[in-house]
Amino acid sequence: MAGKLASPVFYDVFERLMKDDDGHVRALAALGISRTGDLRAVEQIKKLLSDEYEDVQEATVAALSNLFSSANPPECGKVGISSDELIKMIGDRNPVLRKNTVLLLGEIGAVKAVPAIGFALKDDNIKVRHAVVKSLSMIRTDESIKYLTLALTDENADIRVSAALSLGFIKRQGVSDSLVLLLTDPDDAVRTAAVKALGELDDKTTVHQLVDLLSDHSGFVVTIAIESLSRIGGETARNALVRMLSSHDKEIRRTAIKSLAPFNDIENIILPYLNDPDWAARMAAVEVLGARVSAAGAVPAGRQGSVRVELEKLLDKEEDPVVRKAVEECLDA
Amino acid sequence: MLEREEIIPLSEDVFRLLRDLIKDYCGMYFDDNSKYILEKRLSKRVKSHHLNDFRNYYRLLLYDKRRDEELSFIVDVLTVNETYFFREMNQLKALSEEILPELKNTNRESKKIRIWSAGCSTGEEPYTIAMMVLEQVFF
Repeated sequence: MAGKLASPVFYDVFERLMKDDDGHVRALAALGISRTGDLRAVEQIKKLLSDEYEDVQEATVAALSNLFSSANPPECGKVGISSDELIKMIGDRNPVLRKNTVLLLGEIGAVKAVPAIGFALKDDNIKVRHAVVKSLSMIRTDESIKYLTLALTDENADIRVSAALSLGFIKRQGVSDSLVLLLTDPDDAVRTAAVKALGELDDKTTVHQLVDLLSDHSGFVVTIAIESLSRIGGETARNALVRMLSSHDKEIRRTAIKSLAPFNDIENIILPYLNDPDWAARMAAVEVLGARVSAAGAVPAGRQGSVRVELEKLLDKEEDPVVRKAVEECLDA
Repeated sequence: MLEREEIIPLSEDVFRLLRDLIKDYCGMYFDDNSKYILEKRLSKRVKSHHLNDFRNYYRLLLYDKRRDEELSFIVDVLTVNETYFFREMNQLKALSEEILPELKNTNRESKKIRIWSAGCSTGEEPYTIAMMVLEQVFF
């Protein structure tokens, strides 16, 4: 069922079918009525929350979620379903229902439900715990952040990854210490997520820990650490990034070239990479230097001129069509 | 919960990197006009790894310990798994209106033709061809 079925005719039909003897029909009707976007449906759908069949209960939660996500937040508040009814369902024996309920509470921003949602971090089912992380990251109160931080210690690496990324996305200060602890996590994906989150938080106190990660055995961790240091900036970060330019790993070198874009006085450091044997590294150098040629006042006129000369030299010998096109665009700009 | 399919944009340079990586792994090559195929079919994979862009997906394929598993998975995803009756009507029209009449002329003596439907999956395409040949009553 795609999109809204806005006609009142649909509403009436679905409302009738929600009382059908067949549970499957009731479930589909609940989903259908939620697609009308008509908030009168809340009361009708709520009646099915305690339906005798689990499939119908599950569809009901999904229907409420559909309805709330299609309505304006103030409207949700006006007709808001009692979170008490939903909180009870977090303890249901059906894990699908628990997962969907937790998600729905997050989507409607049920602040009151945060302790119950947080408690579900102890749920045996990983999908429920995943939903908890997602839900808490939607609510974003101090208390929900506290539980998200707790999720960083989950036994499952995937949950730790989700929690770290969520904390980075929310950008709430005060969680850096917990994320720094993950930088020694045995799982590469967890370290990568923690490094990314620390970059999002832009916390200068973590620069040294991120620099240490530049020698991580995982190239993925290293490239994300480079990008995080580029975002945070500062002299220590800049020097560390310049060192990474000499990496023999192509992707690390490309990332290091791009990461220097926000810094001043890097033209002479980047220029040699216009001759890098790797086309993507040359492309990265063209992008960084080209932005300086085309942006008036980005660098002093004399230096801008010498960068332009080097780009023109590259154009004379460049065989890769994509790099050529990028150089031409820079010079034309 | 019903989730909408989200297509993550694939930049030209990352497309080339990804394409070269896939070619090195299995020999499958995507030309410049096929960027949308990778974009459309791999967006879900990007999301499933909690990644927000293709650059990081490329890095995962380069560095992750599960890279071989992921690469073999994407070969499956990228292989055309379509088979149905009367697929590619323009080609079939050419077969019916141009090729079969010509074959009729050249094979007038033997009254035989041999057709190879390469990689015919569950058979919908060869059956389609057989039906078109039968419709050409002159065989």
